[in-house]
Amino acid sequence: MEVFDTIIGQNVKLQGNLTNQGAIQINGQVEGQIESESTVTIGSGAMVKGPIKAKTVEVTGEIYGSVVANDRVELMPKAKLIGDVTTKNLVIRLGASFIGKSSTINDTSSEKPAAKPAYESGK
Amino acid sequence: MYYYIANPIKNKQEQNFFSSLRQKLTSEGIAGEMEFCSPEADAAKLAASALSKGFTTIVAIGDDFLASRVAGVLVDQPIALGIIPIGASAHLIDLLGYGNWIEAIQVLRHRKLGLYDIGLINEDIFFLTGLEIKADKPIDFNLHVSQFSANFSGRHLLIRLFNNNPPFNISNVLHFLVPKEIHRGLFGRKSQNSSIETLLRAEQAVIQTSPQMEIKMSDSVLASTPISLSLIPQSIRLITGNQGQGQVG
Repeated sequence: MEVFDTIIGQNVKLQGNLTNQGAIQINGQVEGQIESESTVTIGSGAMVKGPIKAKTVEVTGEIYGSVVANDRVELMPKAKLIGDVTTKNLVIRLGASFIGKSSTINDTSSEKPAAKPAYESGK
Repeated sequence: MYYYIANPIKNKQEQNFFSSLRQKLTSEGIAGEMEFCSPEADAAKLAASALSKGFTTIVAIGDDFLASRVAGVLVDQPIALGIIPIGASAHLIDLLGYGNWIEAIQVLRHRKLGLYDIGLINEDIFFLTGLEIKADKPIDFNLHVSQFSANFSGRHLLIRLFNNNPPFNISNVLHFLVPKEIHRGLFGRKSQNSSIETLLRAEQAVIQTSPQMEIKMSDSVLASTPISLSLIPQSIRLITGNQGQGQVG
């Protein structure tokens, strides 16, 4: 089980920048930049307006902004991401929506434009 | 030489306790001067007096409030703070690594020191463990730190210093916690476990509430909102029973 350094509760509205070494769980609303060296989890009902940079980003809620994740971005069913994604592994589960461009970060951390996302259906 | 500070004796039971305590302190070889707080001389005044008399170990006998009052005088001083927890919060007991006066005496005797953070309200009121704002019905909170501003409604906000102790094992930062409310289902069963709804960290913060609320420690009112909070890291030389704390000379 992930131990979070920061948890934004359902009824919290946060404006500004969240920067953490550890994991961040968002269940409320954030308007600003989120940065973590670990995992950022956007829970069901949560909404983020702003860029996110992390090792891993897991989304069940909504993001309006760019996402950069060194390791993985995973959009769960019902997740909504409007913004560009740059990551090594992009997983879009059935039922998630993604409007934006995706780019890959390869092992040497150089970027390749317009990588094909790995859809759950395996297509 | 040890100097002990305690709240005033209220009844026969407490008188008996202090008699037993004095005997035990003497038998363990750490007896010293003992003073009781009074309207003329509160814990901070007694601690300052002990400091000027040259005592090297000052021991607070009491709860979080008394310990914090004494600790505030010892910030950045080369003086050891000991605590014999009487009516202390679970959080203070976790911080100390012992929970009763018998254990406390053994820890005091060994005098292992750790450097601890202390919190500050409005730059003049110290707290060693934690504070809380508690309301009967949901109120509006604003937590403003240098990087962000968070607004939320709730009944309960806890402010904690963990000083490298569980569950977070970090120091040099204030923790702001909104506990999850426990909703009881049918037949009084808990529908969810008590845990954390919101957790934020900062070295400094300003808290505002609507309506204005009291900030309490051990049921003592320390201030009212709005308040500014900060901490002075590694500024208290606390005699600790926690194995994890580093030894300080």
